[in-house]
Amino acid sequence: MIEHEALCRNLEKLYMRTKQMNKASLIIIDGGVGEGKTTLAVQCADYINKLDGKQPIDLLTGIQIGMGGDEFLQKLRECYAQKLPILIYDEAGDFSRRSAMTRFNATINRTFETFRAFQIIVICCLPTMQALDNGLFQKSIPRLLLHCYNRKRNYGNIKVYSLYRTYYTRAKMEKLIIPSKAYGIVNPNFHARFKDLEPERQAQLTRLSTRGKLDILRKSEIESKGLISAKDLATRCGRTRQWVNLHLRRLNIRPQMEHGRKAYFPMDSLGILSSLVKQR
Amino acid sequence: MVDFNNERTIATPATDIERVLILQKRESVMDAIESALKMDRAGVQAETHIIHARMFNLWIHISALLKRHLSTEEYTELFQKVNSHDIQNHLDAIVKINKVLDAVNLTKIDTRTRIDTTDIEAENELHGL
Repeated sequence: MIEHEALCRNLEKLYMRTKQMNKASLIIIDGGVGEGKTTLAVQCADYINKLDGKQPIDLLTGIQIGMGGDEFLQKLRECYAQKLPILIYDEAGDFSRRSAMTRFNATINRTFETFRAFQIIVICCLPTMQALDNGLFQKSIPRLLLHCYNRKRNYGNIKVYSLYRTYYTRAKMEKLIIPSKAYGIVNPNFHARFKDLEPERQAQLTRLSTRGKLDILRKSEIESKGLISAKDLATRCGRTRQWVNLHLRRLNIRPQMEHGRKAYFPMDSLGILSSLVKQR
Repeated sequence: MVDFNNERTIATPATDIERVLILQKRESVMDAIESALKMDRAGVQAETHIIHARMFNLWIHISALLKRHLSTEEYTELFQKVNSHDIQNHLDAIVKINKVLDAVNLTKIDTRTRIDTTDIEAENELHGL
């Protein structure tokens, strides 16, 4: 668990801000690949769980870790139902400025605007906070930035920035050829270090993280191949799932991929089913 | 003050002029005190009449300000010290005057709000975030 006194104090303040003042609190953890973002997120979450009188994060079920946006939204509801105080949104690269106009991003934006009602602190882990939507910062939702860098075998290094200094860092990043140099130009509020988790927990986290990353990879593959699920086919045709499944069988359209107990069909099948709908 | 009867439309406010004058007078008093102390340390009898004259000059500039910031007893006591010919009284008087000038932010230079930089929320709130 986190032992750095200043970091603990700030996490306590954020906890009070969320619980007592009912304000949204988002912690951003960024850094290069393999710098220990998820490990640090777990340690911060363990500390906040402890403040709330809960057990450390369960890394077997991963109830408080959402890998990617879809899982994050689902876990947010589950955490709210179980009155858990914190949720980690890992691999948050899908919520980025570049794709900010997608419906998914609009959903995530809306979630961040309203999630203060859940009284849940969210920790967002992603490679660079520069990718996050400006709207999030303008609404003063992120309160703390933890930048991981220069991880060693047994410990990681963090630079801690307030929202105020994060603004300056973002502005610097826009101008520099190597954006990450901005972290060396803007003075952090303080530095800290964090140790690795206990071996057993680290192994659990590795398994969970690998599972999550494979899932994300699969979803990216599905998206890049332009496949569509039966549920989405039903929605877009304006028909029931049973109707879609029946006609897919009749037309002998087989799924090209299966993932997460869902079958994915080629995009052409949407055109075929839509024409059937028009004929009727 | 802008005199709209002439063609000058940009002027220095009277308060700025007065502030600069007060600072100049204060500086001249402290110069005189410095010279007197030098002579005193060198074993020569110090000339306090210069300090008295300059301090009285400063007093005239800031008497209204002092009246607002000091109680009647403090004001009277300070005037007696300014009007005396004893260098120690002059030193006490200038220290007291400096305190008042600092309180009205005329000589205060450490006006930046100091916060604990390890307190993230305090810094965010200080900047209205």
